[in-house]
Amino acid sequence: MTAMTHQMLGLFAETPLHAGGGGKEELIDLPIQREIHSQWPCVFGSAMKGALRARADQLGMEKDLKTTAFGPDTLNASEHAGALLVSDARLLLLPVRSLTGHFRLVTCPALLRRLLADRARAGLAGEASTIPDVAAGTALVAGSQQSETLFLEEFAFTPAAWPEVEAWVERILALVAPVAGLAEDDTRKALTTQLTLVDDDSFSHFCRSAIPVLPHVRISSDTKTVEGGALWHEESLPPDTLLYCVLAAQPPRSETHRELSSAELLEQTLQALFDDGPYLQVGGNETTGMGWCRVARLGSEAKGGEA
Amino acid sequence: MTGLPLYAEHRAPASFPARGQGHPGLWFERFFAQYARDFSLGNEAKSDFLKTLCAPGPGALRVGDPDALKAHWMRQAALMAHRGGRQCAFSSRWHFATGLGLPHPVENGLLFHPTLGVPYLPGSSVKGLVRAWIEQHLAEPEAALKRIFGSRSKDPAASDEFVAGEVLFFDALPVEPVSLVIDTMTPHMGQWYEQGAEQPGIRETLPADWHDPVPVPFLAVKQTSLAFPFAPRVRRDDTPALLALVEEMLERALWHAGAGAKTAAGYGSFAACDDDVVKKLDDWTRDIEQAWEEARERQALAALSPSQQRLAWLERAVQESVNQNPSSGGDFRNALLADVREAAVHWPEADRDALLALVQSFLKTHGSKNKLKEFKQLRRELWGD
Repeated sequence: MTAMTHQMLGLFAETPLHAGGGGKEELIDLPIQREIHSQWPCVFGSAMKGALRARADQLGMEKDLKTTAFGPDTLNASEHAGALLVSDARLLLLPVRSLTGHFRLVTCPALLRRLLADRARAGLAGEASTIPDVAAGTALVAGSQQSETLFLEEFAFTPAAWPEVEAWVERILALVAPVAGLAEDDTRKALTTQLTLVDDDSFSHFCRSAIPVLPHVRISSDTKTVEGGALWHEESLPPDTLLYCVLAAQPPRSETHRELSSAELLEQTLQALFDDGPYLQVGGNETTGMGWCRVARLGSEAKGGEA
Repeated sequence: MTGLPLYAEHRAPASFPARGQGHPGLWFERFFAQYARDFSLGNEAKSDFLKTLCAPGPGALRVGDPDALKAHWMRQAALMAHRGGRQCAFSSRWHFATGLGLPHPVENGLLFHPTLGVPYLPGSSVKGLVRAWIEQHLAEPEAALKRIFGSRSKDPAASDEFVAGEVLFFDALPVEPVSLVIDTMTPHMGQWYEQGAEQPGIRETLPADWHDPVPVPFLAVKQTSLAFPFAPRVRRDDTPALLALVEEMLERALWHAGAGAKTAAGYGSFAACDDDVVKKLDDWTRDIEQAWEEARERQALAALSPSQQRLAWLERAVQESVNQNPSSGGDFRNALLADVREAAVHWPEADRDALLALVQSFLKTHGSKNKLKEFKQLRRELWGD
C-alpha cells in the first residue's frame, strides 16, 4: 500500500450534541456514546462517517467522487472499499460549570497525551511540549488566576500555574474554526481563561457527572397531558465541547479515480464538503437543533498546522 | 475526589459569588445548604436559598455575561446564514419559567444553560410549542405538520413515508443578562391530587376552597428577550414560504399560548421586542454583516492572481486624492510606470491591457503632460506601437 494522507478535523460544538449510545442506563434513557475503558464521551467513527456522507449527499457531491471516498452503496458494496478512513471523534475539552466564570474548558493529561499521539499519526508533528503532572485536587490554569479556590461542579480544586499553557492554547486553537464577526484574539483570550487541566481520575468523574441530562416529555395537544410512555431523560454534550477526528485517505480504488493520489482525493473530498461553510451536523436530534459542529481542517500543509 | 462540600471539611462558599460571574445554575442545583440538622426544611429555608440568586439590593444579580450572550448570538447568526435560516427575537410581557419540573429541594427547578448560565428554552420545547399551535389552530394542519415535523409515527415499519421534519428548531437564548425573581405558588388541593382517586368523597380529599394554601416559593425569570433560531433542513423552491409560516406560527404561539411553564397563570407570553432590544439586534446584525463582507473581500482577493491583486489595488488607489494631487502623487505615478515595465515581462496579456488602459486614463486626467509622454514612450519601447 502506498502512502496515506491524513487530516485532523477539529469539531467545536455550536449546539448540544447527542450521539446516542443505544441501550438504557440506570437513570438515563438515552445515554451518549462513550469509550468503554475511560468513560470519556466520544462519537464513534461509524457515526462520524455517516455524518460526513450525509453532508456529501445533501450538498450533492459528485457521485463518482463520493463513491471513491466513502465506498459504493450497500447493494454494490463488494465492488471496492472507500478510500477514506474516519476515526472516532475524540474528546479534547469538556465544558464544566464553575463558580469562577460560568464554565471551564477542562481536560486531563491522558487526553493531551493522546492528542499528541494522534497528531504524530496524522503527520502533524510540531514542537514537542511537555504534559505537566497534576495532583488530585489541583487544577492547572493560566498563571494569572491562582488566588482562589476553583470550583468545578461542586468539587473544590486548588489552582496552580500551568507553565506551558500558551503553547497548548495555540495548539488547541488550531482545532477551532474562526467565526466571521468574532475577533480571533477574543477567542484566544477566552480559551486561555477557561483552559483547565485536572488529573485523569477527576476528569473521568466529570465525564459521568458533569454532562447535562435533560428530561423530555411529549404532550398531547388534545389533553395537554403527557402522552403514555413519552417521558424520557436524554444526555448530551454541551455546546463548546471540543472533539477531533482523524481522517486518513488511501489511494483510490475505484476505476474512475485511479489516477488521483490519496492527497488529491482527500483535498477534493474536503473541499467539496466544507467549501460551502465550516459546519457539520453530528449525532441525533437534528430537528431540535442538536449536533452542529464548527469544523476546522488541520492538514500537514494546511494553515495553522506545523509541517 | 477531594473537597466534597457535603462533608465537614468542605470549602463551599457561604454565598453565590455574583461578582465573579459564577454559574448560577451550578449554585442553584448543587449548593443548596438550608437543611436543618434533622434534614427538615424550615419555613424560610426555601426562600432564603432563592434569595441568594435574586435578592434585591446593592449589586442585585443579573445572570449571564453580556459579551458571552452576544458572542452566542453571533455564532448562531453565522450558523443560520450557512443554513439559510433566521433568528427571530421576542420579549416576554411578564415572567417566564422554564424547567419547573426539574427536581430541586425547593420543589421547583429552573433550567439554566450549561455554558451561558442563563435560563433558556430548549429547541425541543420550541418545536413542541409550534407543533401544538399548528395542530390546534391551522384549518387543515396535516400537510404542514408532516412537512415541518415529519411523519407522525416514529416507527420506521409503521409508515411508508417515514420522514424527518424539514425545519430545525434551535435553543432559544436570552440576548442580554436576565433578572431572576422569587414567585410563590399556593397550592391547596394537594390531597385531592394525591389521594382523590383512592379515597373519594371525604372532606380531606375534596377539591374545595376550605383547605389551607401551602406557599411554595420558586424561581422565575423577569421580563426577558429571547432569540429563536430556526432553519430549513433541506432547501426547496418554496422553503422561504415554509419558514414564513413557521415564523408566523411561532409568533402566535408565543403570544397566545406562551412558552415554558405556568402559561395558564400568565407566564411565558412573548410579543415583539422592545425598541431598545430591536436596536441592539440591528446593531449586531450590521456588525456581523460587515465582518462577513470583509471576509468575502479578503477571500476574493486571495483567489486572484498576483497581477489581478495588483490591478484591484491600483483601481482603488487611483481614486484617492493624495495620489491624484500633482504635488504629492509623484511616487504613485512612478510606481505606475514601474508596474508597466513589470507587466511587460510577467503579466498575462489581458491584465496587461487592463493596466495600460488604467494608467493611460489616470495620467490623462491627473498626470502632467510630461508623465503622459513618458508613458507613451515607454509603451513604444516595450511593444513598439
